[in-house]
Amino acid sequence: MSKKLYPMDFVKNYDYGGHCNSGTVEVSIKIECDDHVITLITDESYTLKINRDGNRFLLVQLIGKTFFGIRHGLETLSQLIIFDDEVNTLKTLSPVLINDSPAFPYRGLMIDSARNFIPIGSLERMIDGMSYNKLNMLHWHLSDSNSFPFFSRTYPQMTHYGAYSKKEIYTPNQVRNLVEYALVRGIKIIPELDAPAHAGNGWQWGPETEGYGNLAFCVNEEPWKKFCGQPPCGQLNPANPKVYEVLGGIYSDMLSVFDPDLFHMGGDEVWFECWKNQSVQTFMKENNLNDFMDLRVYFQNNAYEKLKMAATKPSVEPNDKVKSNTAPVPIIWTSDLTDALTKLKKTGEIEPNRYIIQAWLDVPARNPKMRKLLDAGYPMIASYEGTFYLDHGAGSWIGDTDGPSYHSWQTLYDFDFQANGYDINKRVKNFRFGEIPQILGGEATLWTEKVNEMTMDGKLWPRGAAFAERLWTNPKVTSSSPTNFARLLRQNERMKLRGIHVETRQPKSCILIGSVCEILEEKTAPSHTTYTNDTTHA
Amino acid sequence: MKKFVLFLPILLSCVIFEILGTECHETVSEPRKLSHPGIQGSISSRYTWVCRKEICTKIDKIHGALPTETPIPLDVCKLNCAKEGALWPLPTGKVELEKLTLNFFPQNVDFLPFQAEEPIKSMLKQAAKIFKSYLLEMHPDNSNGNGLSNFLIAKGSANDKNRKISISLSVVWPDTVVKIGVDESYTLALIPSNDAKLIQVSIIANTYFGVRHGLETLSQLIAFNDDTGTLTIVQQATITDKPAFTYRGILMDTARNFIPISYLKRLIDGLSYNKLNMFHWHITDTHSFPFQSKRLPLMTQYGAYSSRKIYTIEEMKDLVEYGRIRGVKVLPEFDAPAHVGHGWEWGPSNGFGNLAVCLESRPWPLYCVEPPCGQLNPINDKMYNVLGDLFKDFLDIFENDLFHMGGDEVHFNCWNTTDEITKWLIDNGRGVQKEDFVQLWAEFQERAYGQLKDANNGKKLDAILWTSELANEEHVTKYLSNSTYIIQIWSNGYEEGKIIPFLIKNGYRTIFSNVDPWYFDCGYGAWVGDASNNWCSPYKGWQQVYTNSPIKILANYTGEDEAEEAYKAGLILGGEAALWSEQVDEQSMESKIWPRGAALAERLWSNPSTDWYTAEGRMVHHRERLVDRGLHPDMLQPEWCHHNDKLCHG
Repeated sequence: MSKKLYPMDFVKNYDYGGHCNSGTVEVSIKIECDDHVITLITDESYTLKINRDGNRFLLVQLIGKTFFGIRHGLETLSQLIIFDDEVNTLKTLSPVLINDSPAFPYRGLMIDSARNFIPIGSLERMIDGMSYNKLNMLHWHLSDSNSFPFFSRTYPQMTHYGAYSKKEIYTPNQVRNLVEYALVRGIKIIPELDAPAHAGNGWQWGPETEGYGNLAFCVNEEPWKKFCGQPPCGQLNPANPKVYEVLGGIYSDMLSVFDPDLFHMGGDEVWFECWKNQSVQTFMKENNLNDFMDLRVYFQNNAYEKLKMAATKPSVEPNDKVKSNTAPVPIIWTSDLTDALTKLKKTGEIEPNRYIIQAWLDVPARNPKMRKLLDAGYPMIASYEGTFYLDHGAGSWIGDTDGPSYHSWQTLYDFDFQANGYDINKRVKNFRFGEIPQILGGEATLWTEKVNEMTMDGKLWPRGAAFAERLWTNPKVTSSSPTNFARLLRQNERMKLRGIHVETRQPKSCILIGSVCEILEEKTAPSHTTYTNDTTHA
Repeated sequence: MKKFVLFLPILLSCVIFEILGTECHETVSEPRKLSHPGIQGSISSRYTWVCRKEICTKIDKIHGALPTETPIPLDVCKLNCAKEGALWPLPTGKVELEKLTLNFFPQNVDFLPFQAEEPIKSMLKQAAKIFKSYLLEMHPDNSNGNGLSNFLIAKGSANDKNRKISISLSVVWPDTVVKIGVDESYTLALIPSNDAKLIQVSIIANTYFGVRHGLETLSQLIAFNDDTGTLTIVQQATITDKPAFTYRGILMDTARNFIPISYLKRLIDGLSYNKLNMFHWHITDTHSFPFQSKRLPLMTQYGAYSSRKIYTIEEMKDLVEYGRIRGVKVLPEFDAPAHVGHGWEWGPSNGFGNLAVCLESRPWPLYCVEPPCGQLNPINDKMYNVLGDLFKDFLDIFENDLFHMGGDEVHFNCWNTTDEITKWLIDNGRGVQKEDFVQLWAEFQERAYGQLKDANNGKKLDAILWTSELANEEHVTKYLSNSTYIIQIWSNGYEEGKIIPFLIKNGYRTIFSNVDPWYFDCGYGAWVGDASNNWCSPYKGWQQVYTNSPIKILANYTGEDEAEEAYKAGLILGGEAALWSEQVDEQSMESKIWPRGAALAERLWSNPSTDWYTAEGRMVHHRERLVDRGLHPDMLQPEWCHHNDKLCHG
């Protein structure tokens, strides 16, 4: 029997073995390998068995290849237990047999802590929520042109100039502890240092520091529409060799506290207008760079070299991460750069077996440029903004347009990889991980222009749970399958009970009475004429 | 390969266990604390602010200021940099703020003996206490619960630590309840002594409510100063102020999902910070009946979601008082004859017959506008007696000058498919066509109002009804008297708003709650049906909430002169934003209400002629104030925009 739980269909997996009695629970756990880092090839499968041994013993067996599989199994086990208000005890089931493994290795959420600062405690709460849903990748968009809250040991100037306030800073210790907190909950934290665009505040200290010069252009420049995608502007100076040196230092600081195998380099929304100045032009001429796209590739390759070097730089602090001497696999956003990858002559290191592409602008089924990237062998993470951007639907923060609309949980749940042009069966080679699925999975993002720690939970949950089932289970059925909403509501209640500030999905009456809140297809002939009224107002 | 076995003895029945096995994973250990000498010391900010051309401008601390400028923290800068300072909502009269400020400690704030009679005097005492709590909440470390001890008076400069603030409050009239038309005006004056050792504050108003608003305004002339560890106050100011509209409300629905009473208090707190004065409490609906009825205990037994999800009589009385002190009326709505159901099931088994019909009828779209269905049985005489008892219970708890009777979305097919009702109609020589049901509804409304009046000892009181089939152009003048009924408009202001000039022309007093943009629950996934978003999507930003003007909506139909005339004649009482709670509980209500409720507040208090963009900087700053006072408002912009006023333009 191979059935999956929340995610999916657990009702069919058990039978009621009569009344259960007070008894002893014996949990045995068997782990086969001692992996202690989550990677793209970690085995997260587990087997869960519950059997009765006489009347007073319940044997729970959890078997998994890795700690991470076992952890998922415990999560599942917790979903087989409820509090019974009538007799004031917990209850569970037997017999149970569950074999489970995820459909995708990359099941992620992204949080942005640069547009607005998110306190560590709220990031922990987000990690809790992810662990309840067997999500395993937290992509941390740590910095942006707005602020630079990551404390760099090598360059403390970054936060001095770039943090919103002295209270809105992440120290290396806090980050290290958070990475640990996530790990024991089955989650890897992937840091992003977005560059060369989305960098500004924090980078102003160059000119007044001997020998560093201009590290960034257009910082806080007006009118912003000319130089960047949203205020405040800012873009690194690709012609200043010191920029790469500073980047290398920050990379090294980050790799001392984060896992060393995956690193997000950002790379989106570069505005060439910001680079149009004499020093850059001169530099391009001297280096035989014909156009800004060449310059963009130049920047990317040099930044990547620094990332590689940072990975091999010895650790400073005694409990820093042990560096592995192998370059991290960089992830970059889709952008004009990735659009051009397949036709660029001088791509250098931007090779399919090195880079992972996070696709936010579109899906391959509609977008030939993305199909080309897939054909070239780039692994991809689906993050299409029209489905997976959780900040959408909350009005606008510049101007007063409605902005993009809210994506319902059903929209996330019903994302069909195959129909969107993602061949989930194809496998590709990666220099670090060997053979991996080309479609690694998906990631829903929470940008924080209009979000803070008070409002993040309601935007993440329960939609993140619906998304998690798409990625863990990749079910054939859609959100409208009869038990799905009820299961999601149950999961939502569970998360609320565990302290997550989830969004309420329905009046409580819907949970108490079940399917009454569905629009039923059945037609019962009314005995008299039907009058239609106004649309509902509440 | 590893194997762990845990044995856990269990005493309770069934199965209980705890997982203790963190040793399953090697790398799990208590994170060691490593100190990084130098980090904490080097964590500081490079920036500060100066006031330039009425804009607080972020500058480099070391070499950003001109010789003539004094860098100050952002909150202090905001106090009086712009001519309207950090005031929200904007006063409608004179605003004169001196450019100079003085530092002081909250320990040195004193109230002079109140100039008022009892019971106003004791109300003022409470208002003064609330005001003092605002001062403590300004300290960034207030969440530690240290209160006054956050302010280290010993560390202040000699001048700062000896400076006194002396506040005098005077109230002329004896009003103790917020009513429609209550005088809420006030005059506020701040004058420093010649040696700047004392600031005398005086707030004078006709009513307690005016003085309370004045204290609210005074708190906005004060900020925490992170450079000195003191509070800072505008040293001299004169403000005269009164609201543009008398009804300024927020509706909260506690029937679709239950909201704990402590969160309703937080809602009232938020209303008071924004000089809103009505909490419209949609307390019951078909889904649940959380209102504890003294005379009819069966209502909650059948109707509450659980025994914990009930508002007790004591809690509700306490809430009314809590609101009154904060200048907020708690206005109850008992919605009928539709939007009832759970709580009314007990009739048949107690000899009362069917009090409600169509309860939980399915498929629901045939019998109601949203599940579950339910509607009162208008031909059951006993139902009216029950209604009368309920009204008595309501008026024992709430103030008795204004009552919301609901009256929306009656679904005729519910009555039309109930044999008891159709038989009665036919037996009485009436038909079962639409107009027959409208008439039946009107008769219900008349009898229900009769019961309400009886419950009020035979005294007339104003009743509010929603726009509906009964309150439309065809029926309103025929069935509803404009001297009794106030109509709350929820129709779309521009697309289906023809009812608005009609009501005004016929002398009805109106409250605007037009769904575009004053329904705060819009813009999320639908809760019935498919993947589409809810019916009133999209989400409306604060900008649209701010822009929505009742007078302009009316003027769109009647022209400006006539709209202005209707306003002056008192036919536009004000407005209200609604938060229906199908998809809201206490976790998410505050971020849906705030800060958009503040945008609503400025529209209704100030009725500004300027646009949202002019107000943006003040709004973003006011939002921070709401956070300081413990509310959980939604975020509007990256913090960078708060630091850099006017630079996040579209």
